[in-house]
Amino acid sequence: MPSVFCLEENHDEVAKFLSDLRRTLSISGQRLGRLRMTGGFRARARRQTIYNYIDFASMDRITPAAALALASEYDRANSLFDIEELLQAINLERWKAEVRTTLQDVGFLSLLGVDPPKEHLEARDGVYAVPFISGTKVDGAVIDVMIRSLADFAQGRGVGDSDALLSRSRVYDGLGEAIQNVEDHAYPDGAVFAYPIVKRWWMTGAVEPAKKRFNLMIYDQGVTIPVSLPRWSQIDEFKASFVKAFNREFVPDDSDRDGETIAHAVQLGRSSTGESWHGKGLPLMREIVENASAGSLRIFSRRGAYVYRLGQSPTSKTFPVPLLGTLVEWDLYL
Amino acid sequence: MEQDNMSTTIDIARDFTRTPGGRYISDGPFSGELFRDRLLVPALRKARQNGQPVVVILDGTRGYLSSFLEEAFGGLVRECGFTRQELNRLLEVKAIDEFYAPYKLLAKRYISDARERAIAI
Repeated sequence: MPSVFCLEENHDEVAKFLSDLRRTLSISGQRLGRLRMTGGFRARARRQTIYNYIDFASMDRITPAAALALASEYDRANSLFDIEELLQAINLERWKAEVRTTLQDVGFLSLLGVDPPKEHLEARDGVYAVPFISGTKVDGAVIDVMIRSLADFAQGRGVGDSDALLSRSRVYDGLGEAIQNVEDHAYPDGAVFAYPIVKRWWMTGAVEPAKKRFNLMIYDQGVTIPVSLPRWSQIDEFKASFVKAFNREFVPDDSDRDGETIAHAVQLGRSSTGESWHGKGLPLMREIVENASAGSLRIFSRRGAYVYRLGQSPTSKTFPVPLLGTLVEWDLYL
Repeated sequence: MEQDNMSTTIDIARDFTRTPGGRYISDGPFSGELFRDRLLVPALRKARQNGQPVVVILDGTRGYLSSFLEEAFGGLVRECGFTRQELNRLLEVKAIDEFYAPYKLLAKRYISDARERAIAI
């Protein structure tokens, strides 16, 4: 268990943990399915064997974005295998208070059956997170619910114009573009995954009212941006400009340049003047940051990371360990 | 949808939704395709007959996805047999609040960028 559960600060450990978790939960789920068929599960349940738990007591810190990715793995396993009874939280009293509160806020503890739905979310260092929402469709009403949840929080804590601030920043468009990208590209027919998947997205948000800071993120467990690029409508233009920029062919299976690949996809959409194309959601996601007084956009996908901070040149990086999905995160000071 | 002697007005927030969705009907509720096929195309077909333009008001929604706008407006040319010249004459896209002005520009750009689909005989 990584002590710092943050993709930006501790990418490889977190990505590896999430990957191992997907494998473990898949194996457990499939085993449970077999036990159910043979009647062995009841016997196992009678003995109250806890054979699927992780010790969160060693975790010192977790970000809402990483908590979302973690929750998505449990949610996926539960959707696929109905293993709620096997997902257990133990020694909660030993968990760090900040970790427990973040996991509780984003809805992770609910998945473990130890946290009934709350009417009021708890504070952690002045930051409030909202329970994750998951879906399969591009549904504006769901995005609206997320924005309202954050706005209501901020509103009740002195940010009187929070709904207007969020609206004017066009986060609705950004979250929508991210979901449309999931719909269009993340789970293509015929894609091969190492473990069973659910074709969903997960979204959450956090707010720090004292700083008028809003943090929104969306995660999917799909094929990742570099893998999906060949299906984008302007792939030929992308390939040509990739060769020009890096003096080598774009090969989707080669993850050594994932960071640059994502950065290039964002940039191509920004400079493209041709026929509208399905990949243009990426640059529009970046534009959300430009509507804020300060902030950043971070995209993690497979081994790549792209970061755009307002007023600075974008940066990209390729990590050794792949993330099994795509995380898009905005950190906005409005 | 409002109609007077001069024009037909479609106010998206009032007549369709405050929370527009994605591109296709299969993508989820209140998609660009649904808006186009349910409201825009019937109004434009009527406009073809009576010569009265259709005014689409973008204001009042939470925002728009580019895919919604592309399918709703670009799709008129690509999928529904309207020409750009015809739409210049029959369709007015309006953004009263400055906040919606970029969406108006996008909608117009999608119309001008859209390619008419070749019809195989």
